[in-house]
Amino acid sequence: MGVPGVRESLDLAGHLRLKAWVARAAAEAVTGALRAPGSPGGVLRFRDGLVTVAESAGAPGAQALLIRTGRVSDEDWARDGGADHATSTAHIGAAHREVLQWMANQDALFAVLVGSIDACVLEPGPSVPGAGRGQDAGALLDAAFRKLDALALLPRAILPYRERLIAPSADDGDRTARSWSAGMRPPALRTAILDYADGRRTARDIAFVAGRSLYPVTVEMSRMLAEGLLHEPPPRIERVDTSPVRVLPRNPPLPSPGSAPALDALPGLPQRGTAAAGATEDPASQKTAASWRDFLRLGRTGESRN
Amino acid sequence: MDRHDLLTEMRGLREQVPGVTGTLVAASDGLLVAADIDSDADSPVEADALAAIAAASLGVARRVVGLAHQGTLGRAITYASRGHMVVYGVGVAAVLAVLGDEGLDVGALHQKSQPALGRIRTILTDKQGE
Repeated sequence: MGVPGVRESLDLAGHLRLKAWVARAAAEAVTGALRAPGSPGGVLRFRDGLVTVAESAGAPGAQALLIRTGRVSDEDWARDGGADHATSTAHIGAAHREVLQWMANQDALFAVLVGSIDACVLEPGPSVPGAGRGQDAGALLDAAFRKLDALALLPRAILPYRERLIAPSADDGDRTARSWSAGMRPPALRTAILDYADGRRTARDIAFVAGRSLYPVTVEMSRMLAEGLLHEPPPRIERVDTSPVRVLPRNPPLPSPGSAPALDALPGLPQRGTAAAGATEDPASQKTAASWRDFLRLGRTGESRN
Repeated sequence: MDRHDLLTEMRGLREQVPGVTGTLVAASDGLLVAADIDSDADSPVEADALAAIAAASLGVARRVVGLAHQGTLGRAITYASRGHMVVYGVGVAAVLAVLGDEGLDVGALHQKSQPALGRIRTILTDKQGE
């Protein structure tokens, strides 16, 4: 009885569904989007039946890779209007841009397949402006399935959205030092993983923060787990702080007519010496300060009164 | 209900929604109530400062909506080259700020955040048993 392996965790029904819809989009030379909501899910954008951009919340896209690795600066991104897609070739060559998009497309499909797929919805519509030549959808999908198979064969394979591994502490430094020969630098990817593996981040999170593709990060972390260079964090034993978190009083006193009680007069609200900008600029809080009982009758969050 | 429950709700959002890198709850005057945020030595996140700014930003966003006669504010979103911040009101006296990376699934966040906001509101208004 342990954590389910990669194979047991795959959404095989979702895979079949996606394969069928991808085949249909290709056969009908669709231009538009094939949405696959799920966890993380994703979108395949087609032009005349070829995939131009594949995106998923589970994998860094071409734009994220360019920015995180410094090949495009944050200022360049803003100057280009903060576009959703890295279609500009002003900062890198067109060929380089196309190769990077192809790699990102494969990674996005891998990210979709290794998660769950709830549905597939085909939406004809405009293609992504400025996107390069598209890729054969079937070939993309086959490449992603091969990656999935390769991952599943690893002895300590992890799922990119599940395990939150941790690098050894300074006390365990000897173990890390033994893993590479004297004078050799650890591979850059492993260094990046060790820098960010803090027990909070999944492989997916580390791929984003390190500006790396999801698949190589997942595979490398699986290998490092097998080699003892990463481990599962110990169970979190919390000293449960049961002190009350009273920000919003349940039965506040009514103010005297015509006056608004000072915020620091309300029980439980964090104290401050002077009023902060947020309090004075928020017309809703000013009105509500006059009648805290009204707050309890508010039906929705963020409701303001004019 | 207590601080442990509040942090459990906040961590729950991070675990349920791809791309969430942290959450914080602040009073509407900017004082930090609780934070659960990824922070590295080379890119430290100052939770207290962020709490103050997030609360102020929601206040400003509400004013914009009011001045533009656009009804009621739902949430305020900041979209940057390396991530997002989404700020929700918890009632009118507190805010929940959610930090995310470039891949944050904003749609999934909105879905999962609605019930979480209700529970957080309950936590913040519930009186401890005497």
